[in-house]
Amino acid sequence: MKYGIKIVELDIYRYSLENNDLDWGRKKPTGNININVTVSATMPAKELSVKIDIHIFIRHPKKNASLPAGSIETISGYQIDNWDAFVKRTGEKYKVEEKLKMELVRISYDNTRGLLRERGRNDIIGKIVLPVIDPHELLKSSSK
Amino acid sequence: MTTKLDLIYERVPAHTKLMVSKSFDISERILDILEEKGWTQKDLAEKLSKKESEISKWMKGTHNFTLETISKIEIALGQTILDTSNSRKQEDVENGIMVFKNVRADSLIGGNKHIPIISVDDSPIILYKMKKEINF
Repeated sequence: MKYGIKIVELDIYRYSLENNDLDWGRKKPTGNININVTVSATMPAKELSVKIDIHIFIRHPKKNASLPAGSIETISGYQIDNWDAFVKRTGEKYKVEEKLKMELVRISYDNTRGLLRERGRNDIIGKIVLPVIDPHELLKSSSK
Repeated sequence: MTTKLDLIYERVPAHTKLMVSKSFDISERILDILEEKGWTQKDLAEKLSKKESEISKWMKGTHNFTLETISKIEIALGQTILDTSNSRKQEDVENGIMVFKNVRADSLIGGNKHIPIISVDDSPIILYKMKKEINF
């Protein structure tokens, strides 16, 4: 891989449950998730970090509404080979090469899927298999 | 789900959040040094000609330290608490990059990573933010 991506940090920053006392039923949970992704650079360490913040809402079988069930926030930190080739600086702003950015977001989101399954194995939100996402779709809704 | 606490936290100015964060770090750094030296807060109070109760207030993590106070504490302890590094790369100085440390070790990195000093480098610079809702 030309980027030489190395994972230097992988942590669950926050894991929380909501409405934990509700009976969510026995069927496979359905609902929706809100995903917030933040990509940042740490200088002069030259590390890129991706924060994935997911809030999970599950459709309650009896209440006929989606209720908050919990959230997970993860941090993935990366180092890459040849930083200057893929991270360009213009004044005080940094721009990451698009494909690299997508790759890091994809890895981070996949990490989060696994961490949620592991961390939440005894909880309702751990029973959710987060959908596979094309990072292109996420980046289309980029606000910055 | 946004709780009342989240709403309150969102209204706190960014500089206040950072100030509290740094204050906690300074207190923690002082406590670490005291532990290394085998000193008590009383020992530090005597060194600084202050009352022990004042030192105790500092250690609560909400004190707004002045540079003068930090300097006196550093001299008394013989160790750096607040690092304003002069070894920043010339390139960074020329381009005016000045970042303040986003103290995140306690909460972000499993609570076990020790950051002994506060430096003025090494803070995350947000590049992109994305948001999406997906059904499952």
